[in-house]
Amino acid sequence: MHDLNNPDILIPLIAGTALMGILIAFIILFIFRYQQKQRSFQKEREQFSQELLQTKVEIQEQTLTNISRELHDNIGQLASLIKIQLNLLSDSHSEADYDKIQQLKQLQKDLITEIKSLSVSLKSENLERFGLLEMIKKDIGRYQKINEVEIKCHLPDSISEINTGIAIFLYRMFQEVMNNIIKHSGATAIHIEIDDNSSKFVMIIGDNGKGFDVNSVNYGSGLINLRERCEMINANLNIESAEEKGTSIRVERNKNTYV
Amino acid sequence: MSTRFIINLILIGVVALFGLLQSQKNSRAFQLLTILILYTFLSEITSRILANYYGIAFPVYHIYVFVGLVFNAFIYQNLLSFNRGIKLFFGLMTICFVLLSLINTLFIQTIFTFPSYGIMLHGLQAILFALIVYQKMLKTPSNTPLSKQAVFWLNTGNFVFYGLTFIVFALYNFYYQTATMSSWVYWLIWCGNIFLYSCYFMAIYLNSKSTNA
Repeated sequence: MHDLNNPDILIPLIAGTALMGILIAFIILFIFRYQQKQRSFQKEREQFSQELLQTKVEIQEQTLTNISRELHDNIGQLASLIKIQLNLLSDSHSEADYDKIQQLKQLQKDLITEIKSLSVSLKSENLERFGLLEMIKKDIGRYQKINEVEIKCHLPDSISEINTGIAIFLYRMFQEVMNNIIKHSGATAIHIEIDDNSSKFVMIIGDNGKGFDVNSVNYGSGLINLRERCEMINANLNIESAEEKGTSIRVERNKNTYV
Repeated sequence: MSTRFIINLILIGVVALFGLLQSQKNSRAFQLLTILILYTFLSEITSRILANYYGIAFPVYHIYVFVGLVFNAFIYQNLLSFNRGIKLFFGLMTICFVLLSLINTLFIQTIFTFPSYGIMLHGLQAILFALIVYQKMLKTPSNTPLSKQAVFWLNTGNFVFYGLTFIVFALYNFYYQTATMSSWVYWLIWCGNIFLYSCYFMAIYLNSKSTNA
């Protein structure tokens, strides 16, 4: 038994215990402070990546607007000039040449229409002018014209007003999904559904294409873009797909969500 | 040999062996740590052999202080991406401590005396290094939880164990020079040792995982 009355034992015992307590308290304090720092750094990082993403989207929109302008002002004008020149051709051709010229005129007409509608779909300012639903309908018309895909739509007559910033995101997501379907899915039918009620906006795009394994797919930039855009407007993205069973993509955004 | 000593020796041996097995995956700082642990293991065995055959093991502890000081400096220099100033500080401080330990061994506590001052210097060095690392960690926190960071475990093990030994030897060197150490002090140091090598084990394990990832 230790003699606790002996100061040679008692004082080191007390001093040692106190100092050990200080050591332990220091470590606990460190852990607490570190976790605080971690949280604030995490917040900063998230804010930074959000800003980076926002800048990326703005640059993308600006680029699309520039392309749209170029299409309309230069390529569109050139196409119109060719059309005029074709119309100016004299009628003294053989029957075979006449047919070819008529075909050329028709192709030229289609080209001009295509350039115009593409130019409209690229320019985000048109969303303000026509609204999200109208723009989507224009795009559907365009996709139906240029692709041999059956598109079934279930669209409302009108939707409530959506902030232009958010409408751009939703519209670009729609375009991204449609492009992915046409480029990669091999689908023969597409189903588009939009539901807009007082509490939420839902957009569903499905296809009967080859699909993919959602869990094992190496997300390409298209799907990453979708996820990023959804995060930025606080929307939920749900992808359902299975090999050879098509894909269904659902974007849902609550209307009381603030961005 | 006491049970306490055997448990301690087995633990050090296991950690050293684990470190050697993981050394390919570990970063430089943890490879150096493994060598230091292996050296500690061999020192413990040597000291026991010397104590049994010649009745004195203190020279081993004198050498251990020098080796520990130098290895600690290299370990900490390679632990995080410190700037050159801090690395220089680690180096210069270690040179000072090595010189002071040398003076202690030559003139104050000769090789036939237990080098408690040298061990205090070793402890002081480890505490200061640990505090610098804690500060650096606070300045640049990572996303990884603290409990999964090898640096945290290495640093905490060192901070607690060397803090403990520094306090104990400071008390007995300066305030209770005449008193002999109570048995609870040995128990305390033994517990500190167990804590230290458990932390080292965690640190080596986590480092091998993160370097491998």
